[in-house]
Amino acid sequence: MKQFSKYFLKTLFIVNIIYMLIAWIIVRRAEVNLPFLRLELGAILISLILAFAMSIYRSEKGHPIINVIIAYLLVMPSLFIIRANFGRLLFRSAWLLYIIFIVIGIIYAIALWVASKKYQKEVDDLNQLLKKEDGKEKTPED
Amino acid sequence: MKITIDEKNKQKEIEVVIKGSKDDQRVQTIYQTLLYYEQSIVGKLDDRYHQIPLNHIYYFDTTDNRTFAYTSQHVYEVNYRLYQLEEKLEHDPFLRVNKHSILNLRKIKHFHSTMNGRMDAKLINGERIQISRRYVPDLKEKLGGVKS
Repeated sequence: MKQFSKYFLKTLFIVNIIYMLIAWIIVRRAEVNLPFLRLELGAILISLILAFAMSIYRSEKGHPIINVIIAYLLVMPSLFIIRANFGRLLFRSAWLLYIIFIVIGIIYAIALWVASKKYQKEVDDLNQLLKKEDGKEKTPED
Repeated sequence: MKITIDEKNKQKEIEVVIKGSKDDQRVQTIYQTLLYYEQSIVGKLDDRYHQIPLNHIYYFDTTDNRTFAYTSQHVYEVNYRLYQLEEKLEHDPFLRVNKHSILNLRKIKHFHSTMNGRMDAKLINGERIQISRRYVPDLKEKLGGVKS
């Protein structure tokens, strides 16, 4: 729960900034009044979804690959919330949503690749040390 | 250093005699290494108390404020908190590797990184224990590397 709250606060901060930026651009360009209370509720909902996805992604339980896929699928509904909040002012055509789906997928794949490489050097070093340290057969009752 | 293995007397119990100064660092290291095979810890299984040799323990883990010792066959409940075990096993090949586990380094088969940016240690019994990033420098040092 503590971890979830941390993720939630971080994402809420970032989502709020992004929402404010989008709202500012829309208000300036389209000269419309946006329902800011609804926008804030949307931002909170998106932050909850993202925090939940991050918790699943970082979870120690379950298979890492399954967690990664679940986290990706969990992120997707947040796009519908953005669409519900800004409507046609942001998503002029429906296909734009699908393009964003794909773009997020690509970014996610790159992030995964970076994350898996992050530890590789340390893992290699530790395996090397392990080999050096025991250069011997291991038995269950070593 | 002179190492001799005497197989003449077919005695059951292994006898080790270290000849050297007690203050010698190498003597102390050899002594500590040998102690690993001699020491044991008391664990409870089915309401009975057992002596568990340290070299039979794969790892210690805490769940709901209770500490358990995992061997290849059984799971024993031990009457220590994780920090107490950490202190007690300071000179043995045991190391805290995450918030809730102390791992026997002699039971590690290899390390590997997972897709979600975490690190695991695969044990010789096939189990996987997660390694937290904050314990990696200590792990390196304990395995004879440089703490970074």
